[in-house]
Amino acid sequence: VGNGLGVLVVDDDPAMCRMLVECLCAAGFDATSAHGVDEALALHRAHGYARIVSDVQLGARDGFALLEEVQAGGPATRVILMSTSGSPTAIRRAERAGAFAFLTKPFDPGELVGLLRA
Amino acid sequence: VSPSDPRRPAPRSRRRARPGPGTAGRLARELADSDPLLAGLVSAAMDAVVVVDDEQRILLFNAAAERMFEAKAGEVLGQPLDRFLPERYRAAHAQQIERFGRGGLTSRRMGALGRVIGLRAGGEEFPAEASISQAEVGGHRLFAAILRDVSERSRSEEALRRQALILDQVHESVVALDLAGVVVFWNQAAERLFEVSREDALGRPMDALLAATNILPGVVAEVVAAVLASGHHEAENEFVSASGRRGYHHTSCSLLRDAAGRPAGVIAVTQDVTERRRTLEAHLEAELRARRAGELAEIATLTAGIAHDVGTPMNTILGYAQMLERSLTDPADRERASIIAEQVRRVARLIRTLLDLARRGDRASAPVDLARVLDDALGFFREKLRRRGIEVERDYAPVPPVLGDADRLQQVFLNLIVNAADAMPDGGVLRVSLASPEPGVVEVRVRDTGEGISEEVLSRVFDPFFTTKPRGQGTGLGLVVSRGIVLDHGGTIEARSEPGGGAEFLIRLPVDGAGGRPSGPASGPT
Repeated sequence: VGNGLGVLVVDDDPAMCRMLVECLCAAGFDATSAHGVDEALALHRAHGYARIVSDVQLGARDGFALLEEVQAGGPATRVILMSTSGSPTAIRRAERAGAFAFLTKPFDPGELVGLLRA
Repeated sequence: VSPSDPRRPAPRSRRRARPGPGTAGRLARELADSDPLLAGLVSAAMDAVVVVDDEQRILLFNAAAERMFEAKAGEVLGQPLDRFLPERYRAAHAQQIERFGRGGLTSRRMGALGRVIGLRAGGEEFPAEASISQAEVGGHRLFAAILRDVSERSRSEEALRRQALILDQVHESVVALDLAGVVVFWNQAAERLFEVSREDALGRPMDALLAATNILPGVVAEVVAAVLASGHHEAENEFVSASGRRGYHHTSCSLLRDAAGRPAGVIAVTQDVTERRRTLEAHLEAELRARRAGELAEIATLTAGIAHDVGTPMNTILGYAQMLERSLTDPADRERASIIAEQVRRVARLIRTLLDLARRGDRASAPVDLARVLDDALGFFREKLRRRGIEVERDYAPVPPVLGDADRLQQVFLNLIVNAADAMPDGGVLRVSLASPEPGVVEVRVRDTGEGISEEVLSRVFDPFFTTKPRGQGTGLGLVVSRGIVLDHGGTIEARSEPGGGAEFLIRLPVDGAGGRPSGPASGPT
């Protein structure tokens, strides 16, 4: 995981999680999934991922909350947020909060791969 | 009390106050005795009869005269007539009588002398009509006057004049007709409203006066009949005056009755309600627009909700389709996976458009070559159009690029082309034209030769979920989305049709885009 290829995928939709993990693994990443913010933070504390891809709409504690906690732990981790709402407001908020990128669902997984390799 | 007060007769009159044994008294007695039948007739006459001698002394004063002048015959016989004339008329009156006496005429009929003014013993002046005759009796010239008090009639005439004056100042047209529909009253407002002068209107049938307008002959008779039946009739109608002035009239008709209560005619009060009606119409239209905007906003919210819910599953499908495209070995399978991925991308684009519609506002814009976008849209349906036997006619004038979103504008043209194709199941001509009717504006027309759109449908084509396509074939959102996109570009879209003559959708777009709306940041690293 420390080699920079570890990626944590966070989405409350299990099919979406599974698809992204399979895609990223096929592209050579070491991808793991979590379905909520708490689970994601626990995994991140244990493994220290270099890249986290998280949905925004995750319930009471959303992707922005996850982004904030991860940022507090240090700048080593890049967080990419994804959402079905690509509103300019959401995009600006993500930029200000320090997200590495913002993807509007549905997006091409190839794009995500490109961003992770950047 | 004025010097002319009859209760204070002039000294000269006082000298002759009593009918005495003199000439006047004798003549009076002779008159009274001359013919009992005549005397009875005079006494019973409804009109006042007063006989005077050539010195204007009263010789006969009948009962009606007593009532008229409020004086007893016994008190006035032998006295000068002057006491029953206002002082200012006395001199003129004496001259008149003298002239009449010198002239050869023996009588002047009632009213020929014009109005005379009498003076009652109580001091009240009153108008009267008089006739006068003269005769020689016992060597004396006598004058007999028959008087009719017209103060009552005069008052009612005055009242009528006043009422007419009042009605003339009424803002509404007031017209009275008799039961045959002939005009008997016509105020000033009626002159303006119907463009017919009072002189031309009075005594003429209303039907004839309306002949040059859009009011059909026979309407007047119908209105009179309706008023006779129910006592009242109200109507609002479009009116085109003789000079071509258009407007709306509201007319309220009531039954007129004569003094005996018998129906005598119709009084019609007409108001020009054009302004009121236009204001009302504008108000209703604004309300309708506001309601449509509200509905559209609701639809947009709903659409956004659905788009969000399908966004994630669509993403899963897209991802797996791409993985299959790479992992499958059979080229045909790989192509199938590729088609799935492509179709998902298409749906994703539609979802993005719907989201954009739900979220009007800042978005990126660039100069768009409409000819290319139109050709791309036509190319998309080339096969479908060919199979339907639809011929495509392109009429592109050179136009400047339009600032906007090419993908979203293409969505509009795709919608219009699909609709046009669906309107021509048995073939026809699809005409797409591009023109710049004025600097800064580009016009796109998409016209079909289908069966056209009825007026009722035409008024609803931009309503959400309104569709004429069979259930399951149209969402009823295509034109709503199209209109939203055109509006976002600061343009307008309208539908035109003549039944049987096909339909045409006309889009006007300003070349500078959405009226200078600020464009936002590009949405994400896509």
